[in-house]
Amino acid sequence: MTSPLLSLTDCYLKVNHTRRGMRTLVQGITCTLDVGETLFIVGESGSGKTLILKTILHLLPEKIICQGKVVYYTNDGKEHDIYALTEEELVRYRRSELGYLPQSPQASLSPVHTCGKQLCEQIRMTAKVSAQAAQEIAQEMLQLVGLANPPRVMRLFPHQLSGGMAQRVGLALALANHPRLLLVDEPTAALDVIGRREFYQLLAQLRQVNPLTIILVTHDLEEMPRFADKIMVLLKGIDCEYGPANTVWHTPAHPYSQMLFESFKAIKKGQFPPSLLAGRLTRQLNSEGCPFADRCPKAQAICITTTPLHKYNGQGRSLRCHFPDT
Amino acid sequence: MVKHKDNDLILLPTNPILRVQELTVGYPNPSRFFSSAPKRAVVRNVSFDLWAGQTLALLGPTGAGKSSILLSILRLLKPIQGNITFLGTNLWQAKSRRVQALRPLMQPIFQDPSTALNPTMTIGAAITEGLKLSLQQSPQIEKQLTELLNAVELEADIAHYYPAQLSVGQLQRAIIARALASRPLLLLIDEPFSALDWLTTVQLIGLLKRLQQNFKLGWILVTHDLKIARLLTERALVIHNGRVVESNSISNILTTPLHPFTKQLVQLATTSET
Repeated sequence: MTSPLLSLTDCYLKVNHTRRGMRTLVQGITCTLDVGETLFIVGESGSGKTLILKTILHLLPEKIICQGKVVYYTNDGKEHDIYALTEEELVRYRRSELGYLPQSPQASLSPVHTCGKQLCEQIRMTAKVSAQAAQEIAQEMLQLVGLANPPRVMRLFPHQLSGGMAQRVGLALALANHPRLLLVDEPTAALDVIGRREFYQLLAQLRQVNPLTIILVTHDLEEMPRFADKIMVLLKGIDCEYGPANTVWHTPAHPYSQMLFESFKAIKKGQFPPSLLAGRLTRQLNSEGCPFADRCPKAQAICITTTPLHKYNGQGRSLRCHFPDT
Repeated sequence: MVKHKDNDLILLPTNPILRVQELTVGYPNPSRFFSSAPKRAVVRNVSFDLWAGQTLALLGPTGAGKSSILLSILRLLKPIQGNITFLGTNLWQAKSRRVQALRPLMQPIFQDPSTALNPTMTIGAAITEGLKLSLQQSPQIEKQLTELLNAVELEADIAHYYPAQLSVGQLQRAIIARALASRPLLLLIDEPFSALDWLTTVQLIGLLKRLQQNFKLGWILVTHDLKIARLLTERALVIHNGRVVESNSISNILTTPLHPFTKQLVQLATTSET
């Protein structure tokens, strides 16, 4: 029996744009995540992927308003509305329940402290251990994320690490307080193809050792089918398609995810999907309407005027399209 | 034969447009930045020729020195050793006026489209800067601008937009248009798609291929992903640990990789997902 860990219901993120009034950045994201599942959020840059992670972390910039419900379920099955927590509860929630691996670990590590010092500090924030014990735990963590010679890495400053190493130190930092939910933001953007494969292999290993729930934001589809339990396809702040990975990957129903996956599968085979080349980019649309309307082969008048609402098919799958393939 | 604004820049089909000989590039040793200690080489002894209209990929892992080679060709990073000859001119020995005349013929496209354009200039203004380089009369510039935007499949009114108002896919197209504005023979493309999703990537690959025919372009593509290189280039240099370990046509590399590192790349690019 699976138990839920996190659910987002109709999340809207809005920013008060001084000149042009309210601007909606994310429109009505809805998803649920069970313990032990891995959710992939895929979409192009600027589609709001990172904002969703920040929403879960309750780390949105002040001028962005979150409407909707973000509910977290603790170990004892209690519901907590994240946006109703007190400051104290929030700190506890972030420290002991969440692990966050930001987009460029090299930039997010403190440049003036050694890796070991940062790691020990993180460990002693939640666990009541001596400095000596923290050192040992830190070394174990570094070993766990596949770094050779942990004592040496402990003494290094972030600028002395390679991209792949910094990524691993970041991961050790995120896992230091044994989070139940790991949020990973574009882990492979700075890595080459070989580093990418290694990162996912490492994540797979870690998942076997301890039950981790992972939300991974990326635009790289390479490892997704092997790795994901659920997929959300995001386009300009709208969750076009969401559901179990197998169904979404093999039978996408939204025109955007169809074209996205088709182009990737074709490139993988060294071919060129001719049907996709006709696409023509137009001006950015306003917040009304389907974000894919300007490139969609099936677009009609309603697509430009009305934002599509969620359509559920009952098997945990949702679609936001006026004319989906059924 | 291609003629340009300087009458002495004549391209002979028998000579390569770019010849790189025994190029070694490096950076100052960071621990002794102010001393005159010798630079630490990141790439050693790279040599290749590129004829007009040819395409070449520099394949290798992060930190292999691929981008440093591009920087040297762009005259932004002084090589430790070796010669770079572009259209018969040795780029690092010629007078700066001569190099300036050659600059428009060689245009870079960088990795991150969101930082590659001046945020305070409209797209139109940025492209016009390039058009002025190829000596167009002002009434023609307007027309050329529309033609260029059309060539990269952007609407004409995008010229009035600022970079921050466009999506990354549109930006990358605008950057390609700006690069084409000075009528280059050679594009130096550095990981162009790493910020884009696969749908936009496919569309841009298609666009680049069409432009190659229309503009008779050659390019050097820096990438770590053989999937992309095989669609965009004919030939590849595989760079590993600062050395060229393999130089071959893409089709040969795909069928018979020789170096263990190349084998790994091929395996990663071709294994199908489950």
